[in-house]
Amino acid sequence: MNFPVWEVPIIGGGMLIGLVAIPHVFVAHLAIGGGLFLPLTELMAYQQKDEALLNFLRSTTRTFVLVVLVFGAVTGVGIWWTIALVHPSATSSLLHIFLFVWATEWVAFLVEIVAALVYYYGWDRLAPAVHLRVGFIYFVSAWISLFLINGILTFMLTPGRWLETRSVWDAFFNPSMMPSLFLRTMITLALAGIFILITSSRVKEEALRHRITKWAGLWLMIPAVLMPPALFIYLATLPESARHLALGGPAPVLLVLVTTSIVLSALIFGFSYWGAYRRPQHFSAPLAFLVAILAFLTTGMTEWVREAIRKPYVIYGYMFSNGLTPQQAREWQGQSLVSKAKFTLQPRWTNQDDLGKEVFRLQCSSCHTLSGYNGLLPLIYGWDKEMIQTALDRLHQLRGFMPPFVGSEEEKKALTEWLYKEAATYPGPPIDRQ
Amino acid sequence: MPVIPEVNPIPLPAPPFLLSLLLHLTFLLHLIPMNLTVGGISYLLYSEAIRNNSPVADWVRSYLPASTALTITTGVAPLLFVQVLYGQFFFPATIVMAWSWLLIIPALLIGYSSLYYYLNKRQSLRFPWIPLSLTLFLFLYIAFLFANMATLMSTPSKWQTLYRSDPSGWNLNLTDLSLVPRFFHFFLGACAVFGLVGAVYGGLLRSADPVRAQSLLSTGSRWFVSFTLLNFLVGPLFLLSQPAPIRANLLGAHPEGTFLLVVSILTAAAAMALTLSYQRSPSKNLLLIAGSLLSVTLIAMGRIRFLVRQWTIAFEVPDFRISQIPAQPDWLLFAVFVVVLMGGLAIIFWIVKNWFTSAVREGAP
Ligand code: HEC
Ligand code: HEM
Repeated sequence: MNFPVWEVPIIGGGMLIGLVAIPHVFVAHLAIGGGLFLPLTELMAYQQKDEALLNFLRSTTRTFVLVVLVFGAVTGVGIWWTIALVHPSATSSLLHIFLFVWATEWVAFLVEIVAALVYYYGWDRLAPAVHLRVGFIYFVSAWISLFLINGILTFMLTPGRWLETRSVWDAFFNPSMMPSLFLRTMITLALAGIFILITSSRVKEEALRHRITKWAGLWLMIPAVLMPPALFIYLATLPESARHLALGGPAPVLLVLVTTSIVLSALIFGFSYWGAYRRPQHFSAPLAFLVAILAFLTTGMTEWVREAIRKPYVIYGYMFSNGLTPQQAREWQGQSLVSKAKFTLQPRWTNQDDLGKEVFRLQCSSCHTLSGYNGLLPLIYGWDKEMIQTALDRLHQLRGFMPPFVGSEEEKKALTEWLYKEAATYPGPPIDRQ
Repeated sequence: MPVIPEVNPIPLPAPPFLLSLLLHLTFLLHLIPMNLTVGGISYLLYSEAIRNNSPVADWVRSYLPASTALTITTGVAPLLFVQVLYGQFFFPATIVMAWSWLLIIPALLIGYSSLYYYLNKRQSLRFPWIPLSLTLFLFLYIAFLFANMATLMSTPSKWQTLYRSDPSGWNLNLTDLSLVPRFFHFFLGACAVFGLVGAVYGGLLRSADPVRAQSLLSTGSRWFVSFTLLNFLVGPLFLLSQPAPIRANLLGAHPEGTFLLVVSILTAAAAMALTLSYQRSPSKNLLLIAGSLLSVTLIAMGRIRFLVRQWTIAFEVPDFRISQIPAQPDWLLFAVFVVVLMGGLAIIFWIVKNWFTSAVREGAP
């Protein structure tokens, strides 16, 4: 209750983060896998004295570096901007814990950008051996970035022993850190393969195109085989209740998503094996785009699932999505919430509806909009006051998605009344309206 | 006393003075590519407008992809340190202007793309200044928002009012007197620094490539001197726009602040005089000294900027002292950071050295 609440209309803050994060995650992983693909293939081309392949790599580097430098870097900064606005308390806590992990990551990022620029502009300038080395420097620093960021991301879902020791080392080397790092590394390889499938479909010369398509197919197949077992190891490291959510639990939609992403991976494997690897001559640009879209959907869904199963927390076991900590939720039971809030819309409360709205803003709006994404009004459509009040009494038991209600009896009543009134003006789900 | 958030219960991972030092250093690092980018784009726009394609314009086009990428990259580090040290101020201020602040990201994305569009398509464009002005406009929007953030975060008394007037986050800190002079001070400064860097580069090129060198030298010095002169007008306005106690501090009441202000004015003036005297007796040492003097100006001004932030905050929230934020250093991790930093800088040095010692090969596009 330390910071002002930023109201994001219709989509809500959580969805906004997703909109920025999903494209970024996609590009950032591509940036790493591609960073291995380019110098490795360049090395092969030098050894086989394959000028045509070198020319292909040279023109691919251009697209690759533009995508990575412009889109990857800017959306990465964008994630930070959005989480700081939507979850200031959590961002501040992560910074206090991981400041020097981030600062170290920044060094890797700096090296990565310099290497990417010199690799791109250096094709016709640097000696081949130096150029290759710059390429590998790019890859290694990009992977180190992943290694470091992955530790922070996994911490949010499995803080592990940090909850007791408060040591940054425990926080970083948390239970799901290694399995997640392995999974993400595999994803980087797969995305590089997809990227090359797309760019190679433009190659005119048939023999060269077939060779590249086949080689790119291999980059997809390896991760497709290794990822499913890794996914199970990863799931095994999750907290019990998060795993419960991921595997169905109270929200079957999540199970559907997990299953779909596994099915999609299988499809991607199918395309890459039978399509690209076995029959490169029949592989075409539309097919490559199809695979890319499947991969994008898979990325989106897994990121979404990862966010969803962390609820009601933003840092598991330490802080709820609305910035309250479990400790505050216990200690402040029954006390007035708005009086704890530093920033409110009004200095004092004469109107009960305004009070209800304020409680909603402070406590619910980090996950709910009113009638947009995860809107409360459709959820409570048709409920009477008593049902709303009962829901508030046992919010944390409802579906395992929510923190307990914190606030005084007066505030609970004001929220109930206000929600009830708002719901009455809500047109209702499309079916009921007819 | 205005309301500010409580300090984060998790202690800082290093003593505040160290974090403050890192904030200073990385912010100065951010200024270099930022000035080259903003000053360089301004120059390009000017040269496109008068349809004069000088070697200076070629030089600017050759470095812009790198300087823009580095502006972003070097911005990340000071952002880390300012958020961890001044989080109680930074987060509320940016949330109060959330949408305007978030628009920095699309501005960066579009401005950056439009810059690449200009660089790649310039030859075939009828109006190359169109994408270029878009880039400059958007990048200046970003600078303007940073000025809003920097002023609003040190005046907590405004947050609640602004927030209540528009909780959806479309606010700016437009009522702050110092906002506009501040913005122009940075903008003019960027054009001046760009000019001096160009002139110094020209001085170094004199024997290798006299034609390019001459163009860089004359344009660079002209830009440096004229924009610095303009800043000698805007700078005093910036000072006047500060609240009285802050102004008094810089004009005698606070020894360090006054000293720094005098030093920065003198070094800037001296750098200008040396650049002018170069026109009469060309010796590249003169320019190198001018460059070093201007670096001193930047360092001193940077330090003033932080002092002013401290004072402005202390003016409203006397209880807040950076040095009193609890810290629990983890020196091992800090050592890892330092080692990686050294290694990283060595690698960057190696890469850059290889770049400059290799010439463009024959027949290359
Ligand atoms: C940590 C995120 C989070 C917070 C904070 C949160 N909710 Fe929820 N809430 C959810 C999710 C997720 C659902 C499930 C939505 C669905 O099934 O579509 C939900 C469902 C609900 C439901 C419907 C329950 C049911 O059984 O159908 C109600 C009522 C509700 N929330 C009220 C509230 C109120 C009131 C607040 C504030 C005091 C609040 N929530 C805070 C995440 C949250
Ligand atoms: C083209 C893009 C950019 C331009 C033109 C630009 C310009 C500026 C300017 C003019 C300032 C000084 C503001 C003032 O004090 O009034 C500033 C400060 C700052 N910039 Fe940038 N910037 C850019 C991109 C970035 C990016 C992408 C980041 C972060 C990732 C960043 C991080 C910072 C930080 C943290 C500060 C302030 C440090 C402090 O207040 O102590 N900048 N920038």
